[in-house]
Amino acid sequence: MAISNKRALIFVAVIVLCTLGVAGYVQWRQRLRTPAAAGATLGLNLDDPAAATRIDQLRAASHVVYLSRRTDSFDQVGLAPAANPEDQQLLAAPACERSYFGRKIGLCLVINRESLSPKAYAVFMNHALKPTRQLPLDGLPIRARVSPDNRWAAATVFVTGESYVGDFTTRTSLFNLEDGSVIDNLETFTTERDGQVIKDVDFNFWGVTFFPSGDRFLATLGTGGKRFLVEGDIARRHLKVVRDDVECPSLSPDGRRIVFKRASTTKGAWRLWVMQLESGEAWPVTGDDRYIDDQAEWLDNDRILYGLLYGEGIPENALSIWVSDVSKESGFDARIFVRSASSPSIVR
Amino acid sequence: MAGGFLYQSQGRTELNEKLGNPDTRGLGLKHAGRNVWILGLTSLLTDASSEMVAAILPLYALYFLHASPAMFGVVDGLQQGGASLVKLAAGWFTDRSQRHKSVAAAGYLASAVSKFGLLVAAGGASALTALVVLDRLGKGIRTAPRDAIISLSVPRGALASAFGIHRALDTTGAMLGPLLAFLVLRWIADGYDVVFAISLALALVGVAALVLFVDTSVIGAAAPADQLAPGSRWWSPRFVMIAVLAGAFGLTTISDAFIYLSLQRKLGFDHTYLPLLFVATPAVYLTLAIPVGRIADRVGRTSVIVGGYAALLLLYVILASSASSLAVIAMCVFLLGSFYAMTDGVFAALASSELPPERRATGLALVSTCNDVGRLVSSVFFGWMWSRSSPDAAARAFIPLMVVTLALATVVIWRFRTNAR
Repeated sequence: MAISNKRALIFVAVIVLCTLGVAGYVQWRQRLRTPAAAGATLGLNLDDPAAATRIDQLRAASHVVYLSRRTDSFDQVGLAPAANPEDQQLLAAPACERSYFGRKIGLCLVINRESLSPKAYAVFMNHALKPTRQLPLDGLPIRARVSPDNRWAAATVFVTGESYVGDFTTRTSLFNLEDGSVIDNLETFTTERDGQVIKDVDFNFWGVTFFPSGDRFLATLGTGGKRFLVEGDIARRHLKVVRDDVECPSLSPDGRRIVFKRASTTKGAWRLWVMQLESGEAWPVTGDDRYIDDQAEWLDNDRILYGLLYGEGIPENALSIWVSDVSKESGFDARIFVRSASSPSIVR
Repeated sequence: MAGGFLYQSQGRTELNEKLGNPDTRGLGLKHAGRNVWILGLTSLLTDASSEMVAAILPLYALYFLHASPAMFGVVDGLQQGGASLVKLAAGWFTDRSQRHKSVAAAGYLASAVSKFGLLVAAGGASALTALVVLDRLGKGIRTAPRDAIISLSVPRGALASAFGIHRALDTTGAMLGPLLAFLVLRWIADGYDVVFAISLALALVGVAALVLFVDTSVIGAAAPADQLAPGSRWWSPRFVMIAVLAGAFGLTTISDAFIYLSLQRKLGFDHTYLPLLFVATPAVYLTLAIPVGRIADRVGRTSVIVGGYAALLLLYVILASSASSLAVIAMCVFLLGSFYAMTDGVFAALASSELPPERRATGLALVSTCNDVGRLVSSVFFGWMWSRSSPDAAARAFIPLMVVTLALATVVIWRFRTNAR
């Protein structure tokens, strides 16, 4: 059978149709995504003095900062008064994968996709939310934290390509915000368990949370398929295992409780638990196995905020910040705090 | 039997062709070669399509869908096992129905449908997982019938050359895919859906090329003398030996990811350069695939395969040694690329030459599954060694394993060769 003209013609037609299809699709989706004001990005431009004043006023009182997961403003920073979270202000830039904001300092982890291997950066912002400093990160950003006293910040990344047998490798760096120095990797700290120094090639640290004052923090140590709560002392470059089966802790404002993740039997799903640090007593605060996005945050000493994937579909429809009461008596009460958003931080 | 499995001299091949080897009788080489090129084109487009999605999937899942990467890790292990079972079933069904082209087309179509799903499913982590599985399923379905068509479309003496051409095109696609994906994301920052759209278009053109231009009428052309007598076994001792060798060699093969990681740890180079290894290795593979295939057809396929694993052994020795410089990385990449060029397509050619046409898809699937299973066991073992001690120690453990396997393989091959004479 020689190639017939008819078949060749059909083939050319398939190529032409596919090309037109792609071109048409790109046209259609670009028109769909462009906001009404053609080409303009949604949100406040901080170079505009009026906008800057507005943000200043908002930041004078207690407020929540989060990342928008709406399709029209994906990854953009949003702010709202803590008492009235639906009264939202969006910033036009930057777009963050993960972020955390203190009163004086903001940390925004961004990915620059301009090169063949996407490069990640930690962008630090001042109290007016203007970028002041940018440092390269060695992987894909997953956690960001700033200490309550605004003296330290932490960032965790997935180190690309270093994962093996279905597991992953993380790297956590600490940033001294006063002198600008960087502790590149928590794995350089000495780790101790029950008085013994322990070390393994598969050590992973992630999810730092700082105590209200001083240079102490809590974090997760993952090794041998298990997760541990470790307490860190920056000055001594020392870590101590304090509890088993605690992942991604977040300290309450009074420093007496943590909310943390505990993996459920469903792969890729967690429940949130709260632990009284002194007694070690812990109880669950979410009722079903779901994907909990990022680290949880405390609205006050009794209520937590967390990103939760509820249902299927794009993040705009499925990912929101929820609020729950953590007292044992409250049961599993949960409601949406900010819709189509995640990665909350509370500035008190 | 004409045409040795173990040793194929140039003279003998030519003689076969002159005498009219049953496989080649009545077929023009130009005509038969077309199937190989068309299937190469289909694989190029489909691989580009799949790899452009695979390249952005972690970013898409982590930052766009906010789904857990841990989920995909588990899927991976299941997929590998599942894909092997599907491969065997598809091979068996192909031979039973003798509908090579339809089964292969179904496999390519399944992958195209998965791209369509990615485009219209509008996110959702579980939908994503299902679609990734569908793509792999398609790969499992199409491999055996496609390789069978390739092997049945060329004279016996040109089998390794034909697989060399196919694998070179296939690898080209696998290299172009990620490049294309990143160009799209650079053009449109959140253009994951555009990547899916282009991926779908490429997959569809690939299926169209297969359906419109691959001519399987040649497959029925095997002479009656070559067909199995009723009740006779299709697996010859030689074939069984090939399958066992494929499994044994699989056990000694450290997965690419581990080799790259060992290199990176050992030499302590920046993560930024890691993707370069993923590009450089296939570049070596695709450059060498065609010439190595030709050489294999001349000097003998088993010699080339043994040479390929010897190259891998040399790579292990370098990994276990304390040598570390840029030249060492270049050497390792060259050895790894050569290993693929000397074993992947050549193994398929070798197995094809020992299989009756009506059982070829089954046999090819079996050999490939043996190799997959071996590699799966090896990567679990290597991962365990790695986490217990160090990458260097893990690589060292594989050196004696490979030496023993190579020695045994050489002895067995030599015995079969002398028996054949």
